[in-house]
Amino acid sequence: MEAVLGARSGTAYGEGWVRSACTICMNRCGILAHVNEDETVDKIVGDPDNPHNHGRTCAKGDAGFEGLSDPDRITVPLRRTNPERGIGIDPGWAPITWDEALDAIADKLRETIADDPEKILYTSFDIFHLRGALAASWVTGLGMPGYSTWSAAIFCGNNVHGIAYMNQNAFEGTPDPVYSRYILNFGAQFGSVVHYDTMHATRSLSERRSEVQMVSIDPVCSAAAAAADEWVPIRPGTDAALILGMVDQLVNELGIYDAEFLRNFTNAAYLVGDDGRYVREPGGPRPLVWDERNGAQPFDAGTAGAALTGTYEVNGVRARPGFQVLADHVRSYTPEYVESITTVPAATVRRLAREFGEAARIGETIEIDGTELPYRPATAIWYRGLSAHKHSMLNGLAVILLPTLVGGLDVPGGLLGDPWGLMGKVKDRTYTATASPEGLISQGFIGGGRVGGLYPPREVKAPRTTEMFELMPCAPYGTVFSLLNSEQPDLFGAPPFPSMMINFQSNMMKTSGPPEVVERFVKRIPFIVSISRRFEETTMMADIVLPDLHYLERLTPFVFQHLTSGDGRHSVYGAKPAVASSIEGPVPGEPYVDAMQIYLELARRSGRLPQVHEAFNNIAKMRGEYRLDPDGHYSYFEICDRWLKNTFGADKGLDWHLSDGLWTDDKTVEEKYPRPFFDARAQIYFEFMLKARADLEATVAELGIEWETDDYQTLPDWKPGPAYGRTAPHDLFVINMKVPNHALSHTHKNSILSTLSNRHNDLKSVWINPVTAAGRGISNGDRVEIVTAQGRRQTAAARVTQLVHPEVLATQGCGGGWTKGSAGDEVNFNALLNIDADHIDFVSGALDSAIAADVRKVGAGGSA
Amino acid sequence: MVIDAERCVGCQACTVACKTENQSPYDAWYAPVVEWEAGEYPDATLNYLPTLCNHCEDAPCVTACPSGALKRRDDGIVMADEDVCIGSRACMAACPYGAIHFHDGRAAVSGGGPEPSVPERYAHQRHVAGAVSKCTYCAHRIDYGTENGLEVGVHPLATPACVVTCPAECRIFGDLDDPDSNVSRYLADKGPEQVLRPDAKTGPSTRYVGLP
Repeated sequence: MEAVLGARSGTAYGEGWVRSACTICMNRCGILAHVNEDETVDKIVGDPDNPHNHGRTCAKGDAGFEGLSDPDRITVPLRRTNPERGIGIDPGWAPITWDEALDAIADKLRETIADDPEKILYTSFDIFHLRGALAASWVTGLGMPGYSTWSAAIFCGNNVHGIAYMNQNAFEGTPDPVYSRYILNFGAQFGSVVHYDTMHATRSLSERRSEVQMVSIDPVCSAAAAAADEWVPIRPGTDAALILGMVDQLVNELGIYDAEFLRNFTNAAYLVGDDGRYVREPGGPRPLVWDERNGAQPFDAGTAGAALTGTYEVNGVRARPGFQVLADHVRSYTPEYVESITTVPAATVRRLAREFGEAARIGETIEIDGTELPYRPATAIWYRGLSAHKHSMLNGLAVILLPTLVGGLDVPGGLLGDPWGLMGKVKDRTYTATASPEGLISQGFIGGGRVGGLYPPREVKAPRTTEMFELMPCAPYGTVFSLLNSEQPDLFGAPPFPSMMINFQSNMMKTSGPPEVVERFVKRIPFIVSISRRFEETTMMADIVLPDLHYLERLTPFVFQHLTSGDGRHSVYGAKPAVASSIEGPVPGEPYVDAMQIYLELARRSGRLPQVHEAFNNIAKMRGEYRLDPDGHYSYFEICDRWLKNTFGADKGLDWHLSDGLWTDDKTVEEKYPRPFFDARAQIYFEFMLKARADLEATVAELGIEWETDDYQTLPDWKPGPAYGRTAPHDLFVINMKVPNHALSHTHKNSILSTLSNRHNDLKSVWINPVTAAGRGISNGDRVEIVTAQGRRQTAAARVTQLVHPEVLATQGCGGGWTKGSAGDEVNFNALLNIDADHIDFVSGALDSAIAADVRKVGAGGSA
Repeated sequence: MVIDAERCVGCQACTVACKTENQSPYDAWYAPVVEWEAGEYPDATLNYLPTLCNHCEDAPCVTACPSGALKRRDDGIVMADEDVCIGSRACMAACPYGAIHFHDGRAAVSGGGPEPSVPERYAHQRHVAGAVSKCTYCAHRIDYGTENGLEVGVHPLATPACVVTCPAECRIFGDLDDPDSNVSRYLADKGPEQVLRPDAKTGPSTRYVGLP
């Protein structure tokens, strides 16, 4: 057993401390866990040697050991004896052996694979982050189309990831924590402890706080807005109007844009005809640009001063550079028009545009490690705030224009891509982006199957699953369509429904849509397996439950393998057991250290192990002696050992991982700020949308279904969402925000964090502006009921506060729930959502999370 | 201790790190970040203030204590001896900062920690029902550091838990009497030096800069 526990010495803290990784949120900080003589953990601190979080932890990480000794943990495989499934129905759990459980699941897997492997719905959020190539190999080896990132996929980076890949060859962009000096937080919480790269950012920003201007544009004064220099309240779902107004100011009024960058590193000079398409070289794919002396030339002909503005005649057609088309397009977004949509005063629109443009210091350079680089210290960041809307993709395409127009992509001070392109390339990393024949960044999304990128659009096909991902050529995920198809089976001709579901570390019943909607979907799935540590809401719907581990019991070699943005050092590290679990695992005689042991055993029992091994060799790029023999049989430990050695070298196998396990390295200047070092271009004009739209319209016509294609636009617009412009009484927007001491939904069962939340009453309250409260006779502390236009309800305690837009009801966190340990009196915001076509973005798969609502007093303060 | 309030982002890491370090009774939080609203919409904001015991030079709690449970150590740390405390709560009434907490008998909320009966080095986590408890500047860490030759306020095992965890590095711990210490230099650099409730004239050892 000792052999699989992490070494308890050799860390900066000395004896008794195990180096591991926190996996409570996606930051995955390096930690040291203190283990007592009686194998309990009583303290978690940040690993001082880890450059990712530099020895710091957040509130969640500090409290992370909670639950290790939870008396309600699932410790043995369980089988449902009550055939009826549903919320509040006792499953009648009966213990079974691992053998019985695994055989039953393997039988079902074999049966489903023989019928159609795409009917396996594999749902997880963190497995692909934490288990990378091995999890992907399992999915591939079983012949599944991919994993579904329920439930986060409904709200996560629907308009973030594809856009980051398109313009930055990255998974997402974050401001440069060291060199950014003006940061627009569009509904995001960068700088608070709520976002990606958060520990690096929080420390770097606090060190130079007085030099950095932070502006939060948000319907609520969130934690980040409170820490910002300015909070600009905005009507929910209208950010795109403000952004396009700022773009109008920058290009048409102020003339602030980085012309050299736009010419050389974007498609801004590509000529566009009146049909919206590029004007291309005769018979070839290359778009043309306009050269003052030589006329139209292919974009890569070395033209020094390609025109960004003007109107030209090329091959007998009228043509304008994409930049000119954009400039003309945004003219209608005058500050006064923007004010009427957003409630942001016209003067503020003008000021923000000017501040942003001036702060970008176009033309200036900075020396980093002896290399002169463009210095663009103004940037913008967004996430769910702009993403969870009906017109999500248009919002994302609008906001990426800001950093792109000022040349602020992956240069000091700008928006830095989180370079997942480097994933797994510890030894031989080269940062480069593949260019399409049009010269544009075209590296796809890392994932495949049911997860994808934006450019180039994927081939449109008839839907193979209920997620209908094949009809979403530009979306990262299609998860939400599962629920829509479940609610309205006739809408799209009932695409194939899952035969079985394997649910791991995600809790869709609580975290995706309204419980009764998700319940209807889940109840229809004939066979459900849940791998879980506790009886979560979704676990209670399962037919077979397998015990999962606490993260401090896990061996997971590559928890953190993407690399901190900007300045700083690379770090790659994993998790190892700080304590040995007493739970028996799926392999007799082998310590239980990770759910991958279950997956490997299922592959073996369903006859798919050779395919999993082959997939692993390919996906993990295994070399020589480390490759797995397809017909071999390896323990999880042996696979980890080979994988580690293949990545780090022969001296860094499992023993090294257990005794040390932290790999760090300096970054080259190209890795810190890659943009100036590769040719593939970013985009400001999204011509590819026309092809995606045409392909889609042809396919849906063939299928005979109605499908929304209006938002496949070459340039973004603001369009009203379903809650915009409603009349009383549902003239308010109910929205949701993150709190720094909770992540996702699982921390809500952490007794330390939930006690802290109770003290602040943050999960049970709804924020209401005093003017709104007075108009409805509501006083601070009253019991109120939120009632949506669709009749969904939640009760809450009124927090009457100046910190919220008068048209907004703000809820916090992902609370509520009905299983043991869940607090039913917390607001469950997801229970207010609407699963209908009006609230779904057909381009990105986002679900609108600004819901039309009323609020009514139902009891005086203190009453139940 | 010096706290740069301007750097605080309200994440409550200190609040929780203190809780897990000291296993404070049920809803007692020795080092909470206090929040309050200021201004009127749309020019409103939420202010954050990291707090803990001020370890006053002229500590009213020590003066008020009828049992001698509250004492100020030579290094300035004010300690509550829970075994001596008779639960009069006079100290709580006297403290201008609300920094002393009465243990009503409910257990600590942090699961997974050692039982209070486990090793001696967890003596600081043993709390007596019916007695008061408070922030000790993690005196057990300071003492451990001093005994083992670790630099107090620099080595993480010789530094209060709230200081170690802080992602924004708001807090610095050191010797205020030494003009060359990390805390003295920070105050000289980022001053003016401030204290909470200066009207109380208690001589707090917790100093602030950048108060909201």
